[in-house]
Amino acid sequence: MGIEDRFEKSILTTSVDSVFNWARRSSLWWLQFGLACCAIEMISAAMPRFDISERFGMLYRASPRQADLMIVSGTVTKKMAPVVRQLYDQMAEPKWVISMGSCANIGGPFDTYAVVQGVDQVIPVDVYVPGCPPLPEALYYGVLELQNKVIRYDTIARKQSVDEAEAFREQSRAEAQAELGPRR
Amino acid sequence: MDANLLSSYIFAVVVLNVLLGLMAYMTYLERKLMAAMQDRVGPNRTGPVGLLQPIADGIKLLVKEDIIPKHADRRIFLLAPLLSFVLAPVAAAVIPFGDSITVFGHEVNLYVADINVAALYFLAIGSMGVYGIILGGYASANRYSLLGGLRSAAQVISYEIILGLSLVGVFILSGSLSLVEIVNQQSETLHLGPLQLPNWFILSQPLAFVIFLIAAVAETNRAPFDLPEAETELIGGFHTEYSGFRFSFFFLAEYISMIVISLFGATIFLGGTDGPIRDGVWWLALKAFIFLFFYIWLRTTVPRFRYDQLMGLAWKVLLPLVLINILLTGFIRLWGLGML
Amino acid sequence: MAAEVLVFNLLSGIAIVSAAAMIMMRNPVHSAIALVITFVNVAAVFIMLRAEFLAVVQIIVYTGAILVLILFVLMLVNPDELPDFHGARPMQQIFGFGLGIILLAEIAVAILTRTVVAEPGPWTEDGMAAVGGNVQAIGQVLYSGYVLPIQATALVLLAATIGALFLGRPDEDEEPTPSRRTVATISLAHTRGSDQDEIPALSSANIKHEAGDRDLIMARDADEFTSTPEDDQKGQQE
Repeated sequence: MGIEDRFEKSILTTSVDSVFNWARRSSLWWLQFGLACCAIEMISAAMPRFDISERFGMLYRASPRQADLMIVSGTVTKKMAPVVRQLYDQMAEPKWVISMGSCANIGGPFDTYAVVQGVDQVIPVDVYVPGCPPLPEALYYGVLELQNKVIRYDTIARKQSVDEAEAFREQSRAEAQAELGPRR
Repeated sequence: MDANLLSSYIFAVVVLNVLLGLMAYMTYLERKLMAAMQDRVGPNRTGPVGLLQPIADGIKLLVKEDIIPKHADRRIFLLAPLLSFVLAPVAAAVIPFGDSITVFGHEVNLYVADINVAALYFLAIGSMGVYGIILGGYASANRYSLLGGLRSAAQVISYEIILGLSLVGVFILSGSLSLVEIVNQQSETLHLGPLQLPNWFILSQPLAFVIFLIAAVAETNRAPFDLPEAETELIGGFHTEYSGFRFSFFFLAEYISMIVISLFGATIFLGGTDGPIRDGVWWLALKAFIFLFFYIWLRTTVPRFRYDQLMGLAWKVLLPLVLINILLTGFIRLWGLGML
Repeated sequence: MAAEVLVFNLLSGIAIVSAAAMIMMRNPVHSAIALVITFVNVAAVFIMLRAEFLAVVQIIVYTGAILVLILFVLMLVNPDELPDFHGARPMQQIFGFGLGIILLAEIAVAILTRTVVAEPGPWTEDGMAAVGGNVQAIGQVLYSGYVLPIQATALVLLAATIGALFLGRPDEDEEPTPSRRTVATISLAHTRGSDQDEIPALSSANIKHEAGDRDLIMARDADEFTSTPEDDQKGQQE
C-alpha cells in the first residue's frame, strides 16, 4: 500500500524524502521506557539541565504506537527480552533504536545465564552509545548521530537491498580498518 | 446565492483556517511556555528558535505508519478521531469576532452565525465532542483505552452540568442566549459611584467565572483533569492504540477545543471584543490568550487529580456552589436591581 | 422551497434508516451510535422547523447525556454476558411484527385522513418574533400556562434522584472498613532504641490504656516486637 519503497532514486524522490526526513529528524518522539540503571541517566538527560525531552524536537510518548525512537537503557535480561521485542513490534514504522550503555550493547559485566548479550540479538539497533552508564552528554551525542542517520532514510525511493547494505557495511568497515591501521 | 449567506460561508472558512494555524502554534507555545516554567529550553533546533517544530511534527505524523489493531472495531476505530476533529472547530461558529466590517463594498459580519440559542449550541457541540473519545477508547480493544473512554464519559457528563449551570447566571442577567447580544450588553459602562467599570460579567458573576474556568479545563481533558489520557496510568488512555495521523487528529481536536472554549469564556465573561481603547478582535485574542496561558500554567503547576477527587469536586463542591449562585442571581434580578 | 424539501427528505431518511439500524445491529455499541445519528438528524429537522431551542436541547440531553450514559454502561458490561437481542421465539416474532404493522397502519391512516383545519395558535413565526425569539416563546409558555406540570415534573425528577441515592447508599449493616490498626503489640523486652537495662514496669492498667480498644498481643521476645503505640504516633507525626 502507498507510495513507499517504489521508485528508483531520482531528484524527485530525493527531494520529497529530504522533506520527510527533515521532519522525522526534527521530531523524534521517544518511548518512555527504561530498563535499569542507565534509565536513571536517561531520565537525568530528560531533566531541565539537558532537556532531551523537548530540545531537539523530541518528546516522550507513553504509548509505543506514537513513538519513533526506542532508547534501550540498561541490562536486557532474558526475561525482559520478549517484552522489549514486543514494544519494538508495537511501534509504528519508521522506527529507530538507540542502545544505551554497555549492558544493552554487549551485555556489559553480566556474562551470565540470565542476560542477553547485546540487545541487537533481539531488535535491530541503529546507534550504540557506550558507557557504564553513559553520561547524558554521551546519550545526546548518540541522538545527534541518529539524527544524521535519519536524514538519510529512504521513504519513496526503493530501499537498498540486503546485499547492497551488506556491501556498504563491508566497505565502511574496510575504511575504518584502513584508518585505524593493522590490528594488533 | 444570498450575499449575506455567502459572506458567512467565506468567514467560516477563514475562521477554520485561522483556528488550524493557531492550533499548530498553540502546541509550540505550550511547549515553550512549559519549558520556561520548568527551567528548560524547549524545542529550539527546528527552524529559528524552533518555530518550524509544529510543521515538522505534522509532516512526521502524516508519513508515519497507520496501525489498526487486529481486534479493533474497525469502522468505529476509523470514525472516532474524525468525529473529535470535526466537532472541535464547529463550536466556534457562534463566537462574535467583532462588529461588521466592509470588504469590497459588502458588509461582512464578523461571526459565522448569530443564532438565538448560541450559548446552548456551544454546549451541545461540546457534549457531542466526547463521542470521539469514548468511541476511540471502545474501538481500540485495549483495556487502557477502554478505561480512558469510561473515565472520559463520566468526567464529561459531570462537568458539562457544571459548565452549563455556571453560564445560567450570565443568562439571567443578560436575558439572552445570543453571544452577540451578550457582548453588546458587556460593552456598556457600569457606573458605581465614582468608578466607571466595563459591564463585564466577570464583575457581576465572579463565582460563576471561577467555576466556568474549572469546568472548562475538565471539559477539554486538560491537566489536572486529564484522567482520560493519564500517561502514567493509562499510557495515553483513549489514544493508546492510535498512531500517525489518526493520533494527531485527537491531538489537534484537544488543542482546538482549548482555543474555542477560551474564546467562548472571553466572550461570555470578559466582554469579548470590548476593550478600553479601540474595540476589536485583538482584545478577544488577548483575553483568549490569558485563558490559554492559564491552562498551560495549570498543567505545569498542579498534579493530576485522583478519580474520586475529580468526581467529588464536581458533585460535592462545584454543583452546590453553582446552584447557590443561580439562586442568588435570580433573587437579585427579581428584586435587587432596583436597590442598586 | 424545493431545496428545503430535498434536505428534509434527506434528514428524515437518514433518521429512519439509522433508527432501523439501531434495532438490527448485533453489536450494542453500534446500535447506540445508530441512535446518536437518529437523534442528530431529528435535531436537524427541528432546526428546519424553526425550533432551534428544541434542537439544541435534544442534542444536549439525549446525545450529550443519556446516550453517553448508555455507552458508559455498555462498555462496563462484558458483551458476552449481554442477553441475546435477536433470539426471540417465533411466536414473539410474529406477534411483535403484527403489532408493529398495526401501529404503522394507524399512524399512516391518521396522517392521510386528517387535515389540519384549525386556526394556527399564537406562536406563529410573527408571534415568536414579537416576544424576542424561540427561546423566549418557549420560556413564556412553559412558565405561565404549564407551570404546574413543570413543577410536578421537577418534583418527580427530584424524587427519582433521591431514590437513586438511597438505593446506591452503602449498606449500614456491613462492617465498616477498618481504617486503623486494631492490634496493638506491647513488648515486654527492651523498648527499641533504648539502652535501659531495666524493663520499665508496665502495669496492666497502663497496658490496657495504651492498647485502647485494640486487641492486645503480648510479645516476650525482642524479635517478636513490632511497634509500640508511641512508635505509631511518632510515625504518624513524621
